[in-house]
Amino acid sequence: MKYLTFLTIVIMALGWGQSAHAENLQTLENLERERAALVYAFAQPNLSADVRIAKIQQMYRRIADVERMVMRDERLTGNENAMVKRTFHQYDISFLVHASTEKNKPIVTHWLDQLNINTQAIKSSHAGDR
Amino acid sequence: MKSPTLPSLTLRGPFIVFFVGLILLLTFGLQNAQAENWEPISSDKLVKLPTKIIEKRLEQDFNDSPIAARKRDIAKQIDGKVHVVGELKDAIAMADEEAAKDLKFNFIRAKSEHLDLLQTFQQLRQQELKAKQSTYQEVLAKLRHKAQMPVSLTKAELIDAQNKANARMEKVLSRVDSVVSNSGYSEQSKYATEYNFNLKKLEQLKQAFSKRQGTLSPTINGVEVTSEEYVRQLLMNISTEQSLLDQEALMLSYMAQLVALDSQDLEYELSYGKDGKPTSNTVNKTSTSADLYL
Repeated sequence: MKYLTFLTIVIMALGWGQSAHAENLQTLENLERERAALVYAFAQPNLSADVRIAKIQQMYRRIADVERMVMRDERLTGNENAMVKRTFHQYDISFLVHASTEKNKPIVTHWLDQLNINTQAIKSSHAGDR
Repeated sequence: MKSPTLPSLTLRGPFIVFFVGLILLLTFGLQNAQAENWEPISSDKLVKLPTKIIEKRLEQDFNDSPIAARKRDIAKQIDGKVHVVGELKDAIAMADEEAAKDLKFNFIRAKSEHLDLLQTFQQLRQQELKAKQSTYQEVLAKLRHKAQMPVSLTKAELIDAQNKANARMEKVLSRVDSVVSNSGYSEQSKYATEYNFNLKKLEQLKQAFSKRQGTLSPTINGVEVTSEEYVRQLLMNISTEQSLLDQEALMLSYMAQLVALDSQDLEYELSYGKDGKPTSNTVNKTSTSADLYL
């Protein structure tokens, strides 16, 4: 009986902790989702160039907003969660819209630069087993 | 034949009565002591208050305590006693020799009672100052601890990275906005519009808040000071009161000696028909009451 009570308390505490954690990182999670959708739009093979550009432009304003929401989110200030740390230590890859504008580059080019994917790298690559 | 339990019973009787009495005495003694004690509001709660309010909150807490009620009661009694002493003094001056002897006796007794009240009042003030002092010391320690709380290196690095990121983003906000408006959007997004609107309101609220904050921020002689300085000043005030109280204690001891001398004079006068010297004056503070004993 004692064990049951203890377990219930632990489970409730964990559940509460997770919901609190999720609530704290909500803006960041939104940014991650939008970024993933943007990267998917970059890499989707069956899109024509016009459709791809239109899609990226459509997402541009929304991502700009979410990036600002993350930057202004007081709950993330000093939050030592790994996701928060990664986001702010890698500004160029996290805040794609603002970082690409800062560097006067199209967002796709900026993203590829950050991943070190360029013509030379692609040409020198070869197919094979890892 | 004698029962073996009888002697022990007769011996136990007084012991039981003694122990029960002792327990009752201790219990009532403890209750009385608790009734006159003051446990100030915790320093944790005080630290959370605006600094200027700390003193008022502690004073309010004291005023609600049993010790403050007792202090008020004693102060009233002192006022009454001072009045009686004054009346007796005037009566002695106007009375004939025989009546004056009785009046002098009452006069000395009233002064002695007045002295007892002053002493109790002083003890209560000392108790109050001691409790306030230790509370302010705790508050000061907590304020210092709060100011020196170390931030972990990783956290400091993260905050630094966040500040740098923020600065970088701030620089390109207008450029991103112009890119957005050039991409065919006729107006700003709902978030951007409402954020800018709220920002203006926030600025107004911030200004109003800083004005109000100004009235709450601690000042010494009209000069704004830090919370730590303010609490240090409160501690200084307590020490000042304590040293004045020590001086008053010395005054009380002289007054007590004078009452003893007065009673000795009266005794001589009654025994040898020698003229005694009546004493004077009023008021409940020790320093002002000192005149009564001169």
